[in-house]
Amino acid sequence: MADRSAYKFLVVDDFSTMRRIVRNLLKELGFTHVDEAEDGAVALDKLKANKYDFVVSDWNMPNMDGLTLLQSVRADANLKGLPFLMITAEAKKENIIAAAQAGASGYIVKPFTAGTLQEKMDKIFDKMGM
Amino acid sequence: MATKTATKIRKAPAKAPIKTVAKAAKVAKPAKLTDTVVSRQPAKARAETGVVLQELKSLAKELSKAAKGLESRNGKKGQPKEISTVLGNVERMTAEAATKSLYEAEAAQQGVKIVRDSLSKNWSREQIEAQLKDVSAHLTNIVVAQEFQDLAGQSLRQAIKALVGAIIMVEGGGPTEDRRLSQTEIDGLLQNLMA
Repeated sequence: MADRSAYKFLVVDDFSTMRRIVRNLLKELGFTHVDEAEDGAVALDKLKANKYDFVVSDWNMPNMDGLTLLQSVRADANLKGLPFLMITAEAKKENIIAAAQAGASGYIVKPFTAGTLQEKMDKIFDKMGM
Repeated sequence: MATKTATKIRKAPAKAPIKTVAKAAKVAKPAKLTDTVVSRQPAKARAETGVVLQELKSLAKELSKAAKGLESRNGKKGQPKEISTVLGNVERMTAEAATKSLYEAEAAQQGVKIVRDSLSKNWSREQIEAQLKDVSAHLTNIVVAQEFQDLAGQSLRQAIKALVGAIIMVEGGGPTEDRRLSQTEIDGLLQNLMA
């Protein structure tokens, strides 16, 4: 199994508090290489310019929302295999279906706990053989 | 390794019992708000949380009042009532976050006190380490509790948007709030969709 602690994360959320929370949780889980983006557009630029191993993204954001970011990632030949975890307050059935159809690797609804994040990430790692 | 570290994180429900490393550390049971030892230090944090909460509550009340006023003037029942629900949720979220943060802060304080007391009790390195991990878990829970700001912010945005819509009398009904799914329901749905 790869050394997961070396993985580089991109946390995408327009709320700085939320980015900080996720960054803190990732740190607790042993992941210290975490970068941030305040919306999907900034995130996509960062993803194209740098190498990341995992994306954690909100849904509702200005400029480019999380779903569009996910669709853009999956449409890009260089990025399409990137694990993409949605953490969002959107919890309607159609949201989940749209995220699944767009290729989300996991979906966490806010409010969530550290345990939920850990569980979903482990599941994604296992599924993707990381 | 990451996975190993990961397993150390505990869930943060307010009722989570605090594990102790020594029998003497039993005092670390869920902190009581009336406990004089733990109520000293979080006073500043409590005051700051109180100010933020007060501001959010008064904002929610103002918006709620405005919504009710619109309802009586327009004779429209839908939107303002939805706004009241949204604002009620904001109040609930802030109250829950404050309660959880205070509980966890006090539990962490208690944990620190136990470690401090251990200096005269000849604790082993493992015991101290375990106790510090416990304190760290409480601090993580405080961090997680701050997510209310994101949720409350989104709700307030939604309420403001609906209010503005009502004020300029733009019909459209606003979003009819479909039922939110729980994490378990989402997991089940995803499993079916991805199968």
